[in-house]
Amino acid sequence: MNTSKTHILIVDDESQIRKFLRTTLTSHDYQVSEAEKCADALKLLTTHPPDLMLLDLGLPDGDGLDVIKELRGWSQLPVIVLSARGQEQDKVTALELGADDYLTKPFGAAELLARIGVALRHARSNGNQQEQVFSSQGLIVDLVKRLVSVDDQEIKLTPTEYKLLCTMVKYAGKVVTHGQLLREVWGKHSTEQGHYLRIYMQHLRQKLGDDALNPRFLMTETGVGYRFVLPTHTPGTDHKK
Amino acid sequence: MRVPDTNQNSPTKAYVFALATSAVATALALPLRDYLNPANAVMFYLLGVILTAARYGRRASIAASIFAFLAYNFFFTKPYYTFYVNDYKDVLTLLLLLVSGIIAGAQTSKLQAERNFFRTKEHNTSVLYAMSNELTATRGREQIVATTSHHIEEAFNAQAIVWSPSTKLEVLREEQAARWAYEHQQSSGLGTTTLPGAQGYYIPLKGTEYVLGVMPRTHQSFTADEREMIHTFANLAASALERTDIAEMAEKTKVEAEGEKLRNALLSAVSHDFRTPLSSIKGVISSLLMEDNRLQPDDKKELLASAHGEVARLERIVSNLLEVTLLDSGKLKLKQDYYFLPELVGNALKQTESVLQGRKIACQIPPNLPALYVDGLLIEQVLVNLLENAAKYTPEGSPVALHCNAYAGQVKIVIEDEGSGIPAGEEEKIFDAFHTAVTTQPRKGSGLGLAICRGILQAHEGNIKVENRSEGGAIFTIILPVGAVPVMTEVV
Repeated sequence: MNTSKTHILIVDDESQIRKFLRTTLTSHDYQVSEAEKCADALKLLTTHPPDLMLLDLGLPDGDGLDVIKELRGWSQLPVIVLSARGQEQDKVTALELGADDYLTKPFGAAELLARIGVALRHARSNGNQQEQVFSSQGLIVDLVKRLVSVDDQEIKLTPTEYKLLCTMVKYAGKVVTHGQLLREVWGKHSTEQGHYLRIYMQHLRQKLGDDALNPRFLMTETGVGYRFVLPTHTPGTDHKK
Repeated sequence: MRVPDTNQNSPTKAYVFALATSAVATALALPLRDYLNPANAVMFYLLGVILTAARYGRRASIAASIFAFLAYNFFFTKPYYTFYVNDYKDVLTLLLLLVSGIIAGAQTSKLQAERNFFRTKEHNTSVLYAMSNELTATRGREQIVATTSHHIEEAFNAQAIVWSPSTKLEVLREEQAARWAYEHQQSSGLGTTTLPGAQGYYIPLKGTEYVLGVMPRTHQSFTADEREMIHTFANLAASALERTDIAEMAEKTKVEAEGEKLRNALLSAVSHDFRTPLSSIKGVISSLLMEDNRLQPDDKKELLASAHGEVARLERIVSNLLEVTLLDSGKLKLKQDYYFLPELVGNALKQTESVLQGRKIACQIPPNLPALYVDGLLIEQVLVNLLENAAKYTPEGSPVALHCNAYAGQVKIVIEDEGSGIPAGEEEKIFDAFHTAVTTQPRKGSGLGLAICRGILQAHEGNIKVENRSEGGAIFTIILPVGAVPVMTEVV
C-alpha cells in the first residue's frame, strides 16, 4: 500500500467523529487510518508511520498526552490535538510536550483542513533554512536585513519586539504557547514573567497597526497563547500530489 | 490531675522531712533543756509531727512521731544520750508523745487530703468548664480535636493524640492499642488489662470514629481519679464531634435538596432548549436525505446554513450548562492572567459572528485601558452571553454598542442595545438561573446565560447589573477590579 497521498492517522474513540474526519479527509485526497486507543495508535505509528496524527486526548485506555510523550522520543511527526473548550490546561500541556497545534471540539471542516495544511507545511520546512523574507497580508519581515514593514510602511521595532515577531512568524499559522514564546524570546529562565510577554505583544500589535478586536496578524488564543493569522488558504492544495 | 499537690512527692523526701523536723525540734529544745519543763520540750516535737502530717500525710507523720519518740528518749530522758529510761514518768511522756503524734498526724493529714480533694475538684471543674466553653465555640472536626488535645495536655502533663482509623501511629503497640479501643469501644493501653505495655491510655470517643490517646510525660500510670477525669474530657470531645457530624449532615441534606431543585429546573429548561434546535436540524437533514428531493442548490445551501446555525446554538447551550455546573458546585477555579480587553472582546465577537450578522456593532475601547487580571475564557464567555442576549432579545438588524472606561481601580464594560429593555421589576431577577424575562414573545433562552455572567463576575469580585436606556433598550454594565498592573522594568 504505497500511495503518494498524504497519510493521516486519526486517534479518537468516538466512531462518529472518526467518520466525520475520515469522510472530510478522504474527500480532500488524504489517505486515512484510524485507531481507537492509545495502544493501537502507538502500534500504527511504528508499523505504518503517517505524515500527521489527529489525536483526541481522552482515550479509553489512557491519556493522549502519553502518546505524544512517547512519540516524541523517536519522531517529529506533526500532531494536532483534538480537545474541548475549557480544557486549556491540557492543550497547553500537549503543546509543551511537542504537539503542533490543537482543534477545539466541535470544529468545522474548513478549520480542520486549514490546521492540517499549516502543520504539514511546517513539518516539511522543518530543518530547511527559514525563508529569508516572510510576507503575509501586507506584512513583510526581511529576516536578513532585519526590516519590518506593513503595507510598505517601515516599522521600527525594539530588539525584543523584533524577536517576538520573528518567533510568531516562524510558527505562522500555528499556535504558540506563552511558555514557548518566553523560552524562545527571553530564554530558558523567563517562564515566570508571563505578563511582560502580554505587554510586549500589545506594543507589537500597536506598532504593526493590528487591531486586537479584529486581528489581522496576531491573534490571542485565550488561555493558551498566540497565533500568527494566515489568510485562509484553499485547503488541501499544498500537500504532495 | 496534677494540682500543686503535696501528697504526691517521693516518699524518701517525706521521711527525710520527718527526720529533719525531729532534728530541728531537738536543736531548738536542747539548749533550753535545763530551763524547760519536759512537757514543753514535747511540744517542739509535736509541732514537727503536725508539720510533717500537713505536708506529707499520714505515713510520714507516723515516721515523724517515731523519730520524735526516739529523739526525745535520747536527749530528754535521763540518763541523757541513751535510750534507757529511768523514770516511769518519762515512759508515760514518751508513750503519750508517740500516740498523740500519731493521732495529730492522722487528723492533720486527713484535713489536708480533704482540702486537696476539694482543690482538685475545683480545678477539674474549671478546666472542664474552660474546655466545654471552647468546644461550644469550635466548629469543624479538626478544630475540636485540636482543642481537646490542647486541654488534656495542659491538665495532665501528658501528650494527647486523637486517633482515627485513617491515622497511622509510628509505634506498632500504640497503634494496636488505639485500634483495639476503637474496635471494642473500650479503653485500652496504659493502666488497663488490654495492652498495658502501651505508653498511652486509649479511650474511644463514643459515637464517633475517634480514639483519644493520652500519654503521661512522666512514666507513671494515671490514678483512678485522673482516669475518670480523662473520661469526662473524652465525653465532652465526643459530644462536640457528634454535634459537628449532625450539623454537617443537616447542611448536606439542605445542599442536596437545593441541588435537586436546581437539577429539576435544569432538566426541564435543557430539554426544551435542546428540542428546538434539534427539531430544526433533524428537519433539514431529513429533507436533504429524501431520495427524490427536488431542492435547488441555493435552497440546499440555505437549509444547511440554518442547521449550522442551530448547531452553534446547541454548542453554546452545552458550554453554558458546563459552566453553570462548575459555578454551582463551587469547583470553578479561576485561571487568572493578564489580558487586554480588546483581545477578549475580539474573540467574543468572533464567536457570536453568526448570531450578530447584519448588525452594526460599535466598539469603543480606550487604547490606554489597563490590562485585566482575569480568567480570559470566562470573561469571554460573559461577553459572548451578553452579545448573544442582545441578539436574541432585540429586533434583527438593530445596533449594539460596547464601550468601556476605567476609573478608581475598576473597569466598566457597557453593552447597550436598542431593544425593548427589561420589564420593570425584573432587573435583578433576570440574573437568576432559569429566569427569562416575561415578554409576549416565545421563550428564547434557557435563562442560564445571565446567571452564568453573574456567577463569573462574582468569582472575579466584580459585578454585573442592568438598567434601561431612556431611549429604549437595555444597558448591561460589567464591573471588574483592575489587578496590580505589572511594571515593565525587569525585562528588556
